[in-house]
Amino acid sequence: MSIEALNISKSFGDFCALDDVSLAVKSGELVALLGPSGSGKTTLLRIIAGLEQPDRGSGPIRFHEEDVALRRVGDREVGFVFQHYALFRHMTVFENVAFGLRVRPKNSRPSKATINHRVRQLLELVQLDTMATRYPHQLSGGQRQRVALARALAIEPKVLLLDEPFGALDAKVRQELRRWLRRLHDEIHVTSVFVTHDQEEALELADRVVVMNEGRIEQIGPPDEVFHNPKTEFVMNFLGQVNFFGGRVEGGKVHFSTVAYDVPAHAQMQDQPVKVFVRPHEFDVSTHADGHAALRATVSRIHSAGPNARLQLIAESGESLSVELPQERFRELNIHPGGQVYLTPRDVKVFVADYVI
Amino acid sequence: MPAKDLTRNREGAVPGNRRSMKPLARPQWKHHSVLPGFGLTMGFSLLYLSLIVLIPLAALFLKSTTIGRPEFWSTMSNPRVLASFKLTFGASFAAAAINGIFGLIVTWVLVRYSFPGKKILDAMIDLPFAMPTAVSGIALTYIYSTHGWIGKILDRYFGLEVAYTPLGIVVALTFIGLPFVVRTLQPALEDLESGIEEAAASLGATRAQTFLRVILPTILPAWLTGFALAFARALGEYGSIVFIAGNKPMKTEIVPLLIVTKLEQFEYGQAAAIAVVTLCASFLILLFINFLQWLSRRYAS
Repeated sequence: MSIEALNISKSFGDFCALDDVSLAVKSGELVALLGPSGSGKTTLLRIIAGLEQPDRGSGPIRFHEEDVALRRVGDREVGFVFQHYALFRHMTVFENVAFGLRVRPKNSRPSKATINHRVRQLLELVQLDTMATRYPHQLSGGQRQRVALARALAIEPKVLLLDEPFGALDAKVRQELRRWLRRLHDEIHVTSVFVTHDQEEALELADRVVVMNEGRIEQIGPPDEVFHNPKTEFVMNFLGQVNFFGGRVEGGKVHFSTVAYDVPAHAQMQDQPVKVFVRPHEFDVSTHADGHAALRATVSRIHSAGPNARLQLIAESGESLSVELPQERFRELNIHPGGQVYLTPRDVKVFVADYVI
Repeated sequence: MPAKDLTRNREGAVPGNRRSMKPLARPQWKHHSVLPGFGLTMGFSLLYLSLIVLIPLAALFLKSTTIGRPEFWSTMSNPRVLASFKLTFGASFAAAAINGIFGLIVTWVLVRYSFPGKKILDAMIDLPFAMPTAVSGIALTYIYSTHGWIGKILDRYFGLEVAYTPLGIVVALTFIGLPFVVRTLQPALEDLESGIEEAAASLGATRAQTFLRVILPTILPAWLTGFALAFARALGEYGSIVFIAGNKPMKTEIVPLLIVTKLEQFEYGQAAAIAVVTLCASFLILLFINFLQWLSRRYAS
């Protein structure tokens, strides 16, 4: 079941939450809406669900070519999973999952035995079949979220919408549940959209990532593409750590700090001020200058607990930098705070400063 | 053996290798709290409770036994006493039920919507708590008598007499009981997660289903507690009713008034007997409220 939301705008008073946003999700896809708080991602999800109405003049919302914009949330056949679970606390796990089937009008309500069977199946799917008679307050956060998911799936939704599904969980549970959700999605293939502000979560879980900022979509693409080829400065900044330099493009080369770097994509630019970004792991680190141009920097701090060693440095030209390198390389170089290193960027991203465009 | 006991650690286990050794540290029998004074405050609480509550209640029970079983039963089966019990319980129940429904609506409005004057309305709910009951009694009698503002209309167009009838008693008791329902329901409604309504709606529940199957069961313990509190309060209400009831024996005579009457006739034993029965009813309601509290805590996370 594909989803299409065209030219959606939404304001709350003076605040513009969504500014003419269009989104298309293919059938069976798992898409992440990623952005900082206030970027409009949750509002977009709630509008797709029907929990919020878009402003007048917004385009259609189509589920599989069928416009559902005028339908109430209950008639859109969406499964919605809330950040804080929103379980019915006076009902057992079983009753929570059965709710969506039990409130159906008499003529379309399944028989008791069918409901029973279906709920058991779902509880098995979310690995909670032994918890059927428990109440929500007797479950852990991760278990509650799985109940919420089973409850949403019980109505056999056309699309599954998840609002920060792992936001209220601690880091370890979050990671497990994330992988589990991915496996579940590969199993049942329901078109799903989830909202998150955690870039790692979005990149790991989603087929495609929609990066949002200030009510607009900055970039849509597979995780690899948005991470390695960010289209805008915001996407570059939001997805992972960056080092920033002010620079100029001149004759197919970008000059920043004390180095120059070939940028064939910007070959036609003449003396253009630009913003230059380098990810911490995109530097080659060496302890002596070996001929080609490199940034000279002084090590100020070292964090070596972790898979990679992270260095905080002060560049010769004054910028403070952070660099990541593999533990083996770090040991091999024998770096200490106060020491001098030479950095060669392997990859730089160049964005023309906003006011030039 | 005391020497052996001293080697026990705090969990009470005896570590084998230490059995023969000299104890290293004295066992801690008592954890000294940062704030001292358990003995003093507990003693004061018990004394206070005894003087104010326990001893008078015990005296009441003792007094009721002075009249002996046959007179106790003849007192309780007296038609006038029975009528007053019926009236008091009936009117109290009716008032609590009315408050249950309208209190829910008032609380709903106060919690869910914002409107100008909300703070004032919220503060006004407490008026029946704060007002001297005799004052509210006089005010209600004035308004609802057949010459009063509202009483006139009710009398002329509906043929309803409020003052000096059981209906008047219900009106007074409704006035008295409203804050109990509102103030117990308010926190429960405020705690209601907005997500659960949206969840119910997204699962296809109609508004009625959402209210009846999701919201109502969640607030039910608090609601019933408010109802029971209003009911218990109404059973003992005296001041506001004596004015509006008219106090006609067999018709509009409430139990507290009957006790006063018995006292004025120096029938102390009978008065105590009637009081004891009311007291037992209050105890039962209290028990019921505690059960509800326990129930609502069971679901709270």
